[in-house]
Amino acid sequence: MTMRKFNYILSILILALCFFFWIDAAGIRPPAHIYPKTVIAITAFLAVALLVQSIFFPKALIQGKPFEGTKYGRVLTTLLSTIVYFFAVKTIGFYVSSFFFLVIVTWILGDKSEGVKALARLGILGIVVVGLVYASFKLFLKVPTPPGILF
Amino acid sequence: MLADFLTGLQNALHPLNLLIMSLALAGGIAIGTLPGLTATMGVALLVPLTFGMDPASGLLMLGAMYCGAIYGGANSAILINTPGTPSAVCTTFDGYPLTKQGRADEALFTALVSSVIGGIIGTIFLMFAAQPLALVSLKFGSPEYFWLAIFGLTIISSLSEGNMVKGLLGGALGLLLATIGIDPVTGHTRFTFGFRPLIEGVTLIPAMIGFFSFAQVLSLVDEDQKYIAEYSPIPGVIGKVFSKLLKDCKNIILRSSLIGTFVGILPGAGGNVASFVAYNEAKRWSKNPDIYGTGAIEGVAASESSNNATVSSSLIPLLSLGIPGSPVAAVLLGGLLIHGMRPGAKLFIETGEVAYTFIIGLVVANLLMLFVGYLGMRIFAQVLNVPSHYITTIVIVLSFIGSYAIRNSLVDVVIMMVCGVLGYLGLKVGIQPGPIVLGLILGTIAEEGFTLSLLMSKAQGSLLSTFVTRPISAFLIFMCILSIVSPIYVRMKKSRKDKLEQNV
Repeated sequence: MTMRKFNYILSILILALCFFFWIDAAGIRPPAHIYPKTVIAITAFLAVALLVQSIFFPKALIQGKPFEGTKYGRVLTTLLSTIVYFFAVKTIGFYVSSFFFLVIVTWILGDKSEGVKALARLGILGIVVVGLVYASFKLFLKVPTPPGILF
Repeated sequence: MLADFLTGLQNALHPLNLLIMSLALAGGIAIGTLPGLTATMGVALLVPLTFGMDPASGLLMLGAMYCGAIYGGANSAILINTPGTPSAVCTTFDGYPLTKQGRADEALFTALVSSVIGGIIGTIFLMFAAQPLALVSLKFGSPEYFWLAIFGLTIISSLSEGNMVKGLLGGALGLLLATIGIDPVTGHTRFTFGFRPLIEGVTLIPAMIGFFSFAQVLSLVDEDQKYIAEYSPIPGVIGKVFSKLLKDCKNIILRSSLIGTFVGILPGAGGNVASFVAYNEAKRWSKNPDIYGTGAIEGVAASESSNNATVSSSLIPLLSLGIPGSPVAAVLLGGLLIHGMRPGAKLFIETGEVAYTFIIGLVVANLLMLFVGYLGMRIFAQVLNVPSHYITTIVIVLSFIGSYAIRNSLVDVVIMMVCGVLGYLGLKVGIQPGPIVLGLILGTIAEEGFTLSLLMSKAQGSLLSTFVTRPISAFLIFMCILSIVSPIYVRMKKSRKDKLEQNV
């Protein structure tokens, strides 16, 4: 899909967002409503400007296809793994989840031709990183970590 | 005064204090480098440690930690495009492109030297002009804050790469994000769409981590390169950077440090606002504005000198008036009170010896930072020799804990992830994270300033006298117009020149 088409989609999505914000802003008491409504109006105006630019002045746009060459598999794997990691942190605990996240996701994203040896190395990496995070955040900085069933 | 000054100098140069400051600087740099860990957090952490210490040593430790943490944000900004602190957002604009060009050493050393110079200039103002500057800061009311925010927002036109409309749209979306949550004046809850955790709004630091760190992680995964960038230490980098800074950047560093000093004294502003304003001014005054954003040493120098100048100047309202103008100053106020010091007019009379030790100590800490920072820089730069798939997962783990640590809330982690995905998609379609984060930073200041000014104008019966005719407001309006008009003028002049050259 070309940048021009993406701009159409982007403009419409932002206009829809502005519409929902505008409806919600109706309940704000004066004079507090002026600022948010002004910001919404400016955003909507710019979205329309982008739409007009895309329709009538396509030369002004960055040419090319924005998602061309995107490695969807890698990006989606990272994204889904992060979502799973979030729920694991919430239920199991930060340190255990982080260890498994580091080992598994680094292995998935890395060069798999190294086989089991790489996994062993990643296990050490996981222990070192989680250990450093624990020492610096928990012991030294006293920063609380998300609680879970385990550690 | 002279006796207190000399005693202060003697105390600040005591070997034990030098050691304490070096350790605090190292800790501060590490904290600043990690996204989500703030200077406030670092200083607050050290306050209990000062209980058993001599007041002068304790305060020197806190000051050194503050300096180190603000500088430290530059390391991650330059190496992995992830600002460690909001003050380092502007450093990413040129710092990361320099890393991609294999010039990470130059960028890191520029950041270090500029931070040191900015820090020293800010401290000189703290030492000699605290009282008059503090009085200027009191003249800043809501209308002035509103115009300052608008002035900051005018930089968006400079940050827009390729398409100005998209840059402005990014800034507007940032402003819109900043309106989510409780209205600062009436307390009305807005734009949460029934999702109660959003009542507290979109917190800046998790959003910033998302837009920069997480979006950068997804971009790295997408690029699928073995290393972030080619890196090998450049021989003679110190001499090269010094000569570049002396030749091309001395005015930029001086101007940016003065901007940082001035913005720093304003309660509620700080390093993030200062660096945006300084970056904008550096670009506006430049003969080659097009090099900014592509890996210009000047951009790194402007951002870093200004944000470190705010360290000392943010203490001006605290030390001379007893008003903490920033979260770190509030924590430092606690440190001062613990040691029996009363910030305000009598600070330099009743406890002049300790006060001068602290202020001179800030100069010494900045000089020490040159050595500590240089050692740290050599270590941090090794990140570029680590394969990028290791970096991505480690950054995700650090982004999680950094976002969570701000309010101990998993909602902030969700905000970080959502902003990260939006930031990644934005990068793909040409909307840079810089304008969005700028809108988010300045949105709150602009809204508070605007609504309170509106209420003031109702009471005074004149919109014009509240918003326009106050001297500082009028000056800021002039600067806003200049900031908007001058790039357009330069662009028109350049295109006319290009056309003429083509015709010839």
